[in-house]
Amino acid sequence: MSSSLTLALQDLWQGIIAWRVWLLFGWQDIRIRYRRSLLGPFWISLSMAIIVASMGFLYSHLFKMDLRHYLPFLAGGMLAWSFISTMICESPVVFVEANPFVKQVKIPYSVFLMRMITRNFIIFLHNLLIVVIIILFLKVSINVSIISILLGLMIIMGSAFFVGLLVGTLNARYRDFNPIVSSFVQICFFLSPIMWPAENLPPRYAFFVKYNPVAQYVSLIRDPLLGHWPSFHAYALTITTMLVFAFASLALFVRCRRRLIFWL
Amino acid sequence: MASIELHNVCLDFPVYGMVSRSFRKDLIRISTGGRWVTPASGKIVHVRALDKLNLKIEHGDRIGLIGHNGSGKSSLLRVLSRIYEPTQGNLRIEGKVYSLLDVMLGMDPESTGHENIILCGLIHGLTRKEIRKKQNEIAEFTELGDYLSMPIRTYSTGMQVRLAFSIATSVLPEILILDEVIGAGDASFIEKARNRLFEIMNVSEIVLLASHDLNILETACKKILWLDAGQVKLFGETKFVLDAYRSLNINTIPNEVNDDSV
Repeated sequence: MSSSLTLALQDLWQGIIAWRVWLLFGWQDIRIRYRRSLLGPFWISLSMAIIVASMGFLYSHLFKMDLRHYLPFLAGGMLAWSFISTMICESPVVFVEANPFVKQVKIPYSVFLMRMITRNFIIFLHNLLIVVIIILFLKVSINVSIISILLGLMIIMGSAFFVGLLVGTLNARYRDFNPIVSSFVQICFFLSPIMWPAENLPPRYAFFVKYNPVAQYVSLIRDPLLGHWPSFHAYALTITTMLVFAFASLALFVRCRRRLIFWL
Repeated sequence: MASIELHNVCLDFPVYGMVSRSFRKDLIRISTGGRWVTPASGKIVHVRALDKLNLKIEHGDRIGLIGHNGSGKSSLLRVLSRIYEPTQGNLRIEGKVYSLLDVMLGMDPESTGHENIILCGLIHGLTRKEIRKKQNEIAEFTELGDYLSMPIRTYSTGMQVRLAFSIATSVLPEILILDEVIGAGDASFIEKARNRLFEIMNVSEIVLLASHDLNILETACKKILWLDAGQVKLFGETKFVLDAYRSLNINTIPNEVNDDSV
């Protein structure tokens, strides 16, 4: 008899290696969402452009910042934030939405985590297009630090996997997690330096940004796009956060995996 | 050689909704000194769907599954498909399983018929290349023609059955599990499906088929497993079990009518 730990790890691993399935699922999600629309997935890019342009204009005046500096900052921040926040918001329902599949065939739960990440990564790429245009247009000086964006993406997607595993399992049992998570995410947006630059904060409150994991996750993507390396602190804090979620989610999943199907 | 063996398999369902599925109640219990984990015998209602089931299915068996609603047919098929894991007991399955339990399940309603063929194929571990080889054959068998380019949410139940059945039977699994699926097509398709089923039954090493249509079971199955309240009531030669089942039903139906009228 295999232990529940091996069975849980098997599920996660077999789902991850079933890349054909989750790539198709993720791609199909995007295609279906924009089927019968003229612009298709480029609506994602367009709405990003509209948000950044309108907010950039208004808030650069509000914060008395030069638009040339504020716009790339805002665009990079929004790019990272929309990637992170949508994944967190979709976490509670990853397994609930998988209901029609998992009750028909034996299919590893982690396939649906990978599906959610794939889908959002495709959206991320469409948004990235706008940021690249802004960067080129405003001639932001990009350097070799841009490669660190890959490491940042890996940390973000790795964290999303475990957050999804944790929240997805919890929400299957207690459907309260959906509203909890969405209001939490909303608060995070305003409490993190995405619209407002961290430098505007009085130094004695700097800790608020320094120990805010969301702020540090955002900087993993935004900093390289603005031409500098993310800080060592950002990596330390985000990787620690990821490990905490990995541990918590695995502990929960090992215990609940067998019963999860009955909760859906 | 495909084979299935169940040893004292029990399956308990937690039933939610009777007690609200809310975090609040558990939270209140914690704050009042209760335990986080609800004891199995306590607040949550459990239903025993399978009760110490012992069963041995061997290579070449074509087994029909009968029993009243709620007798555990679907639960057993889901356990054999590895969707539900037994609460107790041991389960040994050798061979690749394909199960067709509910026609719409496992398909994406927003995707077209063609896309669903690919999706189902991938889920069942085929590569794109293998799927492409089978795609025409599947499309032809469904007789759905241009409908295959439409989202399957627009399909009638019968059309969905055609598609799901065509996909399921094209995979040629070692163990094929079917739950009440052939009933829904129109007469010509049922006839076609029946022939296909017989073909597959010759190829698959083990077939399990649950149905209320005793005529299909009679022609398709060598053995019948009669489930009652999660236990094996009778397991044996088709004619023997069906005769017993029919005679029991003839006796009980008037009683049930009487019960209703009281």
